[in-house]
Formats: sequence, C-alpha cells, structure tokens
Amino acid sequence: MVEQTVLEEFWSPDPIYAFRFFYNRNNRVEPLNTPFADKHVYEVGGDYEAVCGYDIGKAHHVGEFPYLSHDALANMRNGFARSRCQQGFYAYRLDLPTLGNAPLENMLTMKSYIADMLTANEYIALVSLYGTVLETEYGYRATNMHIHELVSVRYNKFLLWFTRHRLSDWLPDSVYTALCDRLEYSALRDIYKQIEEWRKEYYG
Amino acid sequence: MANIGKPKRIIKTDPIRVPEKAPVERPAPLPDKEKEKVPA
Repeated sequence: MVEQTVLEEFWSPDPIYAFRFFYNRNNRVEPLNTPFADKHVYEVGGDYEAVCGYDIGKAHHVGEFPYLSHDALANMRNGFARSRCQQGFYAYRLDLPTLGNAPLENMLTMKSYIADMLTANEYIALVSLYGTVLETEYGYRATNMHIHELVSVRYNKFLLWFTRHRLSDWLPDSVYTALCDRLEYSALRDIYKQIEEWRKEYYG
Repeated sequence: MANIGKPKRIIKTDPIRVPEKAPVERPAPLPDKEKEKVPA
C-alpha cells in the first residue's frame, strides 16, 4: 500500500511563480533528468498539462493528484511494482533560503538543486504553476504549467564540454580545478542574479 | 530529477489560467449582399 498523509488544502486565485531548468537538444527545449511527466516540447508562452511518463493512459490511474497511483494492470504492463505516480511539473521556489549573497558552502546542502544548476542545463525558466499545486520544502509539483521566460545560462555549455572531452585527463589537476571553480562560480552567480530579479518582481 | 523536499500543503488555483491579454473584439459580420439583391 502507498502511504498517504492527507495534507491541508488551500485555495489561491493567482497562479504560483517558480523557476526550473531546461536544456536544448535537437533545437527542442527539454528538461534534463526527468524520466517521467515531461513529454512536451516547451516554448515561451506555452501552457502544459502534466501527463504520466510511463505510457499508461489515464485509465490506469487511481485517485486524484497528488495522491495518484498506478493500478494493478498498469503495474503489470510496466513490469515492476511502482504504484505511486509522480507525474507533474516540478519547479523550485523563488525564495529558496540559499539564494542571495549566501556563500557557496552553504548552498551545497541542497544537493539536487546544485546538481541541476551545474549539469547541462542551458536555460532557467520562470514558470507559473496552476491547477492543483503541491507545495514542498524547496519547490512545487503541479498539474499545469505556463512558461513566462526562458533565459540562457552562459557558462554551463562549457562545463558540459569539459566533461565530455575529459579535460581532467590531460590537464594538471590544479589547473583543471581552478578552471572549473571559476566557471561554476560564474554560472552560479548569473543564475542567482536572475532568480533574485524574478523573486523581487513576482514573489509575494 | 529535481528533489523538492517533503510535501507541506496543497494549493488549489483556478484550473484555467487567466489570460494576460484581453480577448480581441471582432467586428460584427457584414450584411449578406446577395440576399438584398434578390427581388421579393
């Protein structure tokens, strides 16, 4: 059985602003590291509704978002017993406690967020979430999403290139780490600046 | 995959997003000229 703690429900007349990451593949804007729930081609100004990434239609779902689960038939078709459905659009809060002038060491506590920023993601996007929105510690998971802005993040392409070409194999360690640090710091600084701007304009 | 932490609460908003721009007002359709030409 799936453990379900029933959460308090609130109502809001406005959509909720948040940010997330995207990257560019074959001239299509797509999310990275999302094995489910993202089967769309994203564009600025687009409205999207969440779908289940396991290729089982709506018929094979039980319950309501966010307590959705796959039924017995769906589990059989998938070949494994994963009963909880995690479909939805995931995004981070604009008022993350690690933003602003916090030193890098403090930010490293939020590993997945940092990993998102330092992988091949080329864009950060300002999105608004509506429909049913599940609020969590660092972000949201929602049934519907609208993309307001898509901003390219300059240095992350270089980071990807560095990893692909294994620069660490033939550069001296000290040079390589210094280079990476510099690039990572620049990328982070750009991202924080942008999110700060959005937070001032759209949050609260 | 984004790890967004533990769930806290559920917020329900309008399922249909409020459009940012007002809908374009279309002019009323022109009167059918062919009908007018036909003699009574």
